[in-house]
Amino acid sequence: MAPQRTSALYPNGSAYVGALQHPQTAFTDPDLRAGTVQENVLGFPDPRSGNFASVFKVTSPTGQWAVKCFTRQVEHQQQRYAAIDAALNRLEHAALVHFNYQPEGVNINGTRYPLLKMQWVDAQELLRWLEHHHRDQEKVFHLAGQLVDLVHALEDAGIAHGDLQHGNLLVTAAGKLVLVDYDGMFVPELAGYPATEKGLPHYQHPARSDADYGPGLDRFSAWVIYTSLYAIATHSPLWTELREPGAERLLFTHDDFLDPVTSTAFTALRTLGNTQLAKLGDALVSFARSPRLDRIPALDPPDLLGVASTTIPTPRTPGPDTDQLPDWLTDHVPQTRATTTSSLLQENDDHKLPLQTFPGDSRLMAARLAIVTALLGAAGGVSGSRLTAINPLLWYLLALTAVLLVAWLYTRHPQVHARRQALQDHHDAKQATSKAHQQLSGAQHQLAEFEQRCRQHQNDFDTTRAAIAQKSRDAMTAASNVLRAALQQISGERTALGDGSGMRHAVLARKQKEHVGYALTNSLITNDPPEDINTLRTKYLAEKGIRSAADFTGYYVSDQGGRGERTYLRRAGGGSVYVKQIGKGCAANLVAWRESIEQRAERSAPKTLTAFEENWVRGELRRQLDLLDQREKQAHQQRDGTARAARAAEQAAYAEQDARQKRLQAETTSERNNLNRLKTRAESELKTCRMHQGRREKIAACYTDITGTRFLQRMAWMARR
Amino acid sequence: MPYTAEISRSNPSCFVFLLDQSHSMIDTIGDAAVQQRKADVVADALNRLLQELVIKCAKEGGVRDYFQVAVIGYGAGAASAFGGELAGRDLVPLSQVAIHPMQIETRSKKVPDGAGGLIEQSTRFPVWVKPVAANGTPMCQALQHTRRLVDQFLTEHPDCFPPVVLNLSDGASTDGDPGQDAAKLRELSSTDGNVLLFNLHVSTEGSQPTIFPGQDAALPADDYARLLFSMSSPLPAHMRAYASQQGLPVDDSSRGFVFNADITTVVQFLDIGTRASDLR
Repeated sequence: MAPQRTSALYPNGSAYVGALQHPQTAFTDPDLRAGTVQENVLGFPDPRSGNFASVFKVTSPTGQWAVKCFTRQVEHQQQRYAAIDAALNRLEHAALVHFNYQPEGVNINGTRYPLLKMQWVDAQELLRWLEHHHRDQEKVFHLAGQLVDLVHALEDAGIAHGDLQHGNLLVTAAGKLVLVDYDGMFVPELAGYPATEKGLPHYQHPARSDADYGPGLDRFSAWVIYTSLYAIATHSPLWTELREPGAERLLFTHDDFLDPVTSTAFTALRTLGNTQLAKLGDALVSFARSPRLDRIPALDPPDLLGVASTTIPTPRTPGPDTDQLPDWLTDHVPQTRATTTSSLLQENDDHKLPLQTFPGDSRLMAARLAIVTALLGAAGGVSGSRLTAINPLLWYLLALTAVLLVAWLYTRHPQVHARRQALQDHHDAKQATSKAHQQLSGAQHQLAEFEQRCRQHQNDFDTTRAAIAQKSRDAMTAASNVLRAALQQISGERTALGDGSGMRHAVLARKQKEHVGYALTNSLITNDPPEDINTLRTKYLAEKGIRSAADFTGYYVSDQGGRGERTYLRRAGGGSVYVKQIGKGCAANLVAWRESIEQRAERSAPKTLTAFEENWVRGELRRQLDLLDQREKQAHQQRDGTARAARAAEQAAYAEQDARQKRLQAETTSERNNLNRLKTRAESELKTCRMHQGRREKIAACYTDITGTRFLQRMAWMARR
Repeated sequence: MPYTAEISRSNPSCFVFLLDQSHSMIDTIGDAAVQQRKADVVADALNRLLQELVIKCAKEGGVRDYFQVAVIGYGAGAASAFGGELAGRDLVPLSQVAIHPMQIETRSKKVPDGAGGLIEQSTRFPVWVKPVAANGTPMCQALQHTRRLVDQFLTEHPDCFPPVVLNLSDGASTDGDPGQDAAKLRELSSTDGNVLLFNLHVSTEGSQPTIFPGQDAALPADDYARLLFSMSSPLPAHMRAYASQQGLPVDDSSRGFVFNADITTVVQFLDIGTRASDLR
């Protein structure tokens, strides 16, 4: 048992399911106490729940019962059921079931609550029945006929069910219609009581409000059901075309009534080529547009459609001779061919509300009296001082009071109040529309901004991709440049190697140079002294390390800053040396000696390579060329490696981008869907507000004549009469 | 008008219950006479609520899938708290929930026998969720997980009555600031309105509960209370009306938030928070 804050709260469904596990203690009715409650697969009492109650099936010694346990308190429930019981007993219609209201029928945790004990009807809910039988024209027509009969009976008795819809219409195996659930029923004895519910929207007129409670409450719903049944009977595919599987409605939704112009259902009825169906549909559209419930006629299937209330109707094939509207329809259907859609696509003016006037009621009479009093008072004031003994001021006061009374009567007049209310409502509706408009703009703006962001993201991705590609290209280009430079270098070296002649020359030159070098080294000054180089000079020369022709290369004379000339010999290894007693002449002789030796040696030097040397050169050439080949290969490999790395880096970068983009796309899709839903929401809000504003505007327009001037005119008119 | 979409089998809505399974849920609440562990109280209330939902949607021919239901426990991580047949499943159609409780428990109590005496009577009721109290409070993770579930649901049912998420916890999030994740969840919308996130904080202190506070309400001087308040959606009109019928003072700015909830308030919070709209 759920804890309850206030005792006024009724038990919830689970409290009943708990208590009804023990009917012998739960119920107070001895018959029910002896009964068993139907259980579900888990062995719990099996409820069928509605908005206010759960119904359990109880099998007792006396029969099968539907026991309704209430989950919400309804004011004056007992009086209501007593009144309903009395009214239905008078009616005695086959489609109605008897019930027994037990004010203390069920015991929950020590507190007694009411229940309703009804005869159990083995029947299917209308939708389930239609699921099986919608293709059976005869059965569906028969049901429609029963509906007309039932609705007539209730209408004639001034009774309204209040929630006429599929869930409360059962069909027995024999095809008999049964109406159940009388919680919201109006019977004449209940006039003045408030309504307990508004009914299922898919069956209700857009203008039905919480306050509506009285005869005629079912009229619109009856038309909806009848039209649906007629449509299904004449064109059974509509059952699946106009309803998604499992939809809890017949062929129409509440939105169809709010906006018949864009309604698929009404369009279908008009375009099927069945004139009668089209007329029924158009009639329903016209009823839906009626700003007031009480202007809708009672369900009265016309002869046009070939339906008699108690016989099975035969649908007539649509023909061209059905243009003439019957009387019952002429008031409600636009005076055009029913199959013409144009009239329905314009805002329908058939239901212009009557212009409001001041009724000739007691208030007007009072105002008239007050005016007469005021006039008398004024007149008395003028003449009072002379004609009567009363102070003229009192006369004026009387007149003033009377004028104030008229003003008061005017401002407090229900019509004036109604006008103020209508204007206020219209103003509020306009405000709401403007707010809805702003909301829609906001939603559109958000969506536009979002798309802009998405484009920006896409651009970013494109830019990043381009950068990745560029980076890769740059790496490739750089690698190719390195390769090209290496190949150029190698090619140059290969050209330089040629057929080996360069190398041959080099080897020969080195050999000749060596030959000259040997000759110079072997020519000792002591062995073959040049001219003027005596023993002493030879000794001095040797002291300075100059012993052979190889030890010097030339000489030069220095004037030593004007302190006399001095001759220096240039050493072969660089540097110069002064040698005692070697003057310019001796030095010249030494150099000439050296040159003659050199020239001799050059002449005697070998002019060709030996076979061995030639072999060496060839070998060396091959080796050098091999090395170049190897370097060339390496350069190519290096380039290929760099290119592969660049490509791999590119692929990895792309893969990362792809993953990011995919993630972002998933988020984007989710967000776009969300923003689109928000936009749709704002659009439908605006549409509703606009329609509401339209209705409010129409109502406000009815009060243009509720003015002070009109009030006075009306008084004068009354006075004249 | 938002929050007016019809709930039907072809256009179902969904409830996600977030159940704090942190270690501190082992603490007891209630007065001295009835001491119950918070985890037990919350699990018990949730089981009853699920049963009530099932009953409300039971019609001729069985339980109708007006709702899909997920119960996400968060403690060790954030994952389905369903057991038995439904173990590991997130959003489950109500008709499946109805026939797959984890177990059926029996409780005995004394009831009047109608003849002035008392008799012992056992009542059976279904159990879908077992109490758990261990680990931390990874609320952010739970909210993120919920956002994924709800986003998917909204893709499949764009025109649904907006999903309602009811978060029952007893302490601060241990995996970061849940405000951001809560905002991201509430941003999701069907064509009928934004996702509703309601938060309930279960107290051990026994101080007066703060129920559905509005903008002018005096919130407890507690940063955590303020955070949860800011995370909670305003109550839609029909829930306000229902709360008001129950004698709760609510106004246009009242949010689906309860602080320092006691046992009764937990039940009430779930009852009002799942009042989607009138079911036929």
